[in-house]
Amino acid sequence: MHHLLAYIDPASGSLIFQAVIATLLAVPFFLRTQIARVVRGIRRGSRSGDDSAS
Amino acid sequence: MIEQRETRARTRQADAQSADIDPASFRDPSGFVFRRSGVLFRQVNRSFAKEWDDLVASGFLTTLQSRGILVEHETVGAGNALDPAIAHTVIRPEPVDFVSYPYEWSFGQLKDAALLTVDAQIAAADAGFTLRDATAYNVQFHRGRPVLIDTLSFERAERGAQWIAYGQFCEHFLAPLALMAERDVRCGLMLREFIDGIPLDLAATLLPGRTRLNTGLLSHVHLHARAKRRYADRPAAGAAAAASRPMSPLRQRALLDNLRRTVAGLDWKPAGTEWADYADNTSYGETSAKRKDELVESFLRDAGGAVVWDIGANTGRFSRIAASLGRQVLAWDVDPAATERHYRSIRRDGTTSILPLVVDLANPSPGLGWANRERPSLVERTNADVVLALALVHHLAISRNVPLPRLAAYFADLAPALVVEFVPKGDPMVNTLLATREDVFPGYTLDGFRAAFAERFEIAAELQIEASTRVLFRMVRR
Repeated sequence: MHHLLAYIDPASGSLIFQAVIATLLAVPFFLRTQIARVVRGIRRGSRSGDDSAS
Repeated sequence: MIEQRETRARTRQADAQSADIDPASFRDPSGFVFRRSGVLFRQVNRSFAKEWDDLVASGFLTTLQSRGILVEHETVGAGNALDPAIAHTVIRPEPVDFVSYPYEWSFGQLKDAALLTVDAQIAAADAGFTLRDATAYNVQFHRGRPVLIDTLSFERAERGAQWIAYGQFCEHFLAPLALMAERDVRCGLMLREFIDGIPLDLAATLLPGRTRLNTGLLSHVHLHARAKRRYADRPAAGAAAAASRPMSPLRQRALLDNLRRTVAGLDWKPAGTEWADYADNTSYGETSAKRKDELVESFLRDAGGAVVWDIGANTGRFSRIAASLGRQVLAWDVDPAATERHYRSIRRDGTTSILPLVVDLANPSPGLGWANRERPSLVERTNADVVLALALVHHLAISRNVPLPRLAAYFADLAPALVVEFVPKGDPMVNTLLATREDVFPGYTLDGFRAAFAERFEIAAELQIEASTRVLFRMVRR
């Protein structure tokens, strides 16, 4: 990691911890965003269905 | 020749340093903030030229500004540089109403500043940039809302890089917010001591054990503190390990999403402090309260000026009167709950001319940071035309034993005009203050008050508030 313009000390413990915790958090985040996408798609579908019915 | 050049360089550096460079603007070599004839400028140095041009060309700064995240600025060019030899360009940022500090913010203000900062990093990551500095001092309240003021805080993100300011964000925002919400709201005052943020190991020690059941606090405070300790004496090993674990966009977004959710999930109910319900429990009857409103409005109108400091503002009843007269108001109060209620009410109403802040006037914010000049004291930052001090003098003079002449002197340091209420002995509130202590205040009388304040002010108007023993004064500094 090379930060040319870094003028604060990022603390290496923070960098390595962040990499580890982000990996763990990525799984539920991915699932949540996928579920949200599906729910949005269903809602959009039902709304356009309503529109065409009317 | 070389000597001459070096001398010139030294002279130039000395000139630049002796000019009006902001005392807090020395950490980032990319540029600095300075004032010329009272106008605020930010010089962008050549060392940051490529990055700055990239930022400008991308339109990212404009996007942030249109979303209200970043303070507006106008490019005025290198011709305005304070140190032309190292200047790439100069911008003129829109000045904020008043520079306040995180240790003067209520819980909700610090939380809103935290959300703004993480939102800025989310926006930056989406646009291929990164926020390289997440200090709480880069946020200011302007027109009722938080805004990022450091235009140079962004740079192009390196592929796979971790967020360099992650640790700083946790220490400046998450740790104090968690302590305020989960331990005691007064922990916010720790920011006055720890100006680089609350160390995570200290926060982890002070937080209740139950906070380990909160996934966000367990991760970003407790485990993060342990990781920092583990690599504290072998940073190279940590950096190498971090480099071997690049952050994919998904991981970056997951981290930021979790940080945002953790901050948003912290809450504090402003109740249970001495002053939280004070405004609802004063000894004023309805008639005298209405009369006091009218008198305060009239005295404030006569006092004129553009900026009113309402000191001892509680939840802002009289701040709103000052604001209704078109004044800019700083509403100071010692109580974090009253200030929080005030802040929530102005956010709800969309009021832009009142800024509630927390301060103990018996121990106001001192000069802090390098040479005590980085974060100026309260009195050094005064921009008040009028000080409004209602139902305050008895608390400072009796509860805090501050002699009346010293009160007058401090008020005179704060503003050239004063609207002040004197609450005499015999008033139920003063009786309460004296109920459990010896009355060692023989000079605390209406005549004693007039005499003490007459040394610093001319009394321009004096009226007793109808149906009460209290007296309202309008004074002008001598």
